[in-house]
Amino acid sequence: MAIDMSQYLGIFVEESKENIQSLNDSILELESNPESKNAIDEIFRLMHTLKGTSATMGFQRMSKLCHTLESKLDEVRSGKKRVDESLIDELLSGLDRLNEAIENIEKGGDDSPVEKDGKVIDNAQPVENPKSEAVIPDSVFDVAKNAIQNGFDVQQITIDLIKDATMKSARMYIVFKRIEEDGSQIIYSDPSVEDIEKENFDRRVKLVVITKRSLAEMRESISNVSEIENVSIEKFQMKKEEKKEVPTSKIEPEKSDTQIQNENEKRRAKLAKSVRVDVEKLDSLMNLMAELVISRSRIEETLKQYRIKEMDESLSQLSRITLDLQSTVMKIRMIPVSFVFERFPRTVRDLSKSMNKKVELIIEGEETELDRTVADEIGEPLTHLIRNAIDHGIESEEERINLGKPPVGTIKLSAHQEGDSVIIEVSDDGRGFDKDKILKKAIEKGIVQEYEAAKMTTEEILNITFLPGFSTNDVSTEVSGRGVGMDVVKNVVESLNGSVYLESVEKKGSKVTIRLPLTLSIIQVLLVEICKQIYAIPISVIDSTLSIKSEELKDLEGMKTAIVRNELVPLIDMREYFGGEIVSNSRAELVVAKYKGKKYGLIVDRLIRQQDIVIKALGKFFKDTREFSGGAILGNGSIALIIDVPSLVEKASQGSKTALTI
Amino acid sequence: MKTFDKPFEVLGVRIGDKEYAIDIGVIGIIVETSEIARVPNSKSFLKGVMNLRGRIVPVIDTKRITSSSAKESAGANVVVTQIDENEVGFLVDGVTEVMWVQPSEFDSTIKIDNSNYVKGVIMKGNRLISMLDLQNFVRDQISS
Repeated sequence: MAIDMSQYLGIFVEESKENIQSLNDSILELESNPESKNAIDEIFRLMHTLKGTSATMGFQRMSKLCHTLESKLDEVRSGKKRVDESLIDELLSGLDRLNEAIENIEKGGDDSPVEKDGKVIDNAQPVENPKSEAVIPDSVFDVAKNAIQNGFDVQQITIDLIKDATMKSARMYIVFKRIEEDGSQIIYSDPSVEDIEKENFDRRVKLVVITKRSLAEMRESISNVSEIENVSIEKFQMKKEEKKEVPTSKIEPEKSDTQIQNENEKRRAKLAKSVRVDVEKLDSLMNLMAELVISRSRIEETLKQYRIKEMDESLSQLSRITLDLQSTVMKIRMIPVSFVFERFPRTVRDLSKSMNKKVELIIEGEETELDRTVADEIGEPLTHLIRNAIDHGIESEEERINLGKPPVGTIKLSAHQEGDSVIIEVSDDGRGFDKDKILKKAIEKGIVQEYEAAKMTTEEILNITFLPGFSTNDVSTEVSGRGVGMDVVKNVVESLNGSVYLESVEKKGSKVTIRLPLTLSIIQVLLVEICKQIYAIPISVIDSTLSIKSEELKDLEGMKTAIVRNELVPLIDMREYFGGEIVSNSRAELVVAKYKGKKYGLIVDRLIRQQDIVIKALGKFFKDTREFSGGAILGNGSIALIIDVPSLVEKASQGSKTALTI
Repeated sequence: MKTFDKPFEVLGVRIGDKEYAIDIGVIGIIVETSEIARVPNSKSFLKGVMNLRGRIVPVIDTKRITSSSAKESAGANVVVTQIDENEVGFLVDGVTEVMWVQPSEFDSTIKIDNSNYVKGVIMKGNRLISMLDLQNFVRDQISS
């Protein structure tokens, strides 16, 4: 009975990717710290897991490669070999091939990329029974001896599963159960119980069992488990009595069991740390959540009419729980930016090596969280920027020394949250962008006319690099300069509703700032009422709120203004701007917002409260209505439009109604 | 010129005092009109946005498509359609019935309504029902 393994393929691919990434990190860690035993152990552990899982899934080539790499490390572990550059290179290139194999498998292929370039990978012993000669630890002998003295029999059982057996760990579980059903004890297992549970073994399992059964009885109970090819049972061979009996090392059989159990628990605890969830499921969870909140408010309103005192407490508890649930669901979508950043140490290492430049990468703010969708998209543009920085930015070592710069170039990758945006910066201390070169090329390519060039500001010149098909490097290097330029970066970022900003100081370095909105994620807003409808203004743009008397509103040459803390602030009457009727009031509520360092006052009818909301897109019909960045569904089910203050200010200043000429 | 060679199913809707038909294939669900949030400074045919099970869905004032001179009304139902990948609601004054139309009952050459988005006329006995072309409407508006 063959079991369709394909349903586990997705999990396998995801898991392997994670393992490969962790391996990558650990290998780099080992490179910078060759004495680190931790790193070696970690690499060993990960490699071993990968070996096991790929073998389980039938990817023997991958498994073999893992085994080869593993045995290389074993030499290091046993002190036969030292960690040197060639070992690191070998590990990394092996890892790359594993990665390619995984990518191929993900696309529906097999693990053949492992063998590409005709490289011989199998220079170690075959993967079959890698640990068949594992040494049975002394403690087992002690326990066995003790058991024999107490009138038990100790048997060594070797079980071979049939080739291509499925659910190997389950088979073994049944075997274990059969053995242990009359109180027999398994005191030793090779591979370990942990590996068996992970299916981290090939076909053969060796056990040492303390039992009262005869060999034949034991054989009978095990051999009718399906998919077992062969069972051989013999009396456990005690070691030659070279060792003196050490009374202190008496280990109760139960104890070794609990040890195994503890190990298992530890393993489970580790596995429980994360669960993979389809983003679509999260979306629907969020929608269900929204419905739940709405239903709750309806119940609340209905019950209010009846004033049942007994309900109050449970109702407020329900409110609290739904609120907590809501914020948890919102946060589930967020992942730390390290998810994207973790690949870059490797990128920088490889690129700087291939270009013979010395570069140090500094990563900051990797704990900054952003929406999963945004994180998925931003990796490629960042890779591009980092490549650019190494390729075009950082000078060669000699050049840097001549310029009086530190010989090792620095690239800094940092992230932080600023209001409802995530800012990612890529900066380097290289040569910066050469304005003359950019202009020359732009004129050559006909992007800019010569007469225009003289008048262009630095910013305008730098922005040329974002135009499609622009690349400044004279010689097309292997890495960048293939015509794929900054325009790709700009496109991706803009498709995420973000913006890119380039700064450069010649000979000092350059900095690319990417501002990404937390689309689909939570932002904090101030809810306001304008013409009987509720709108949301992001807290990040609000300077202050105040209530002023209507006579304090000044009409200055057709423009409403007010003096806020000794500062003349132009006003946008939102009631008028949104085309509603203005109820004359003796007081006006003012939300003072900041934009490009200036303050603008928005007149609204009423301030409601602060709230965390989820931004949802309004859709294509509203693409021209830029004053709203989206909408949010409020607790009572109604929609609040989110006011995009920059667009509002820009649009209002063009409009004739409220001319903002300041 | 007849554009259908098989019987097809339509939903009859009421806009003002006229009856129109919508191809049943694009219809997702029909809901009673709940709160529609007006979006200031948006296109005139847009009534606003509504909350449909946690999603924000644009609502189109169908009157503006049919060039019906009917007076402003709150609208009773929103017919939510799925056109390409867009979920779009159309505000109508009521739904009448789901009916099967024989190819012989449909004529695309007659237009009793002066609108670019009317495909033709369905003749059911003495009823004349204009068939709306919501698909083209949505495509035109989104690409423009």
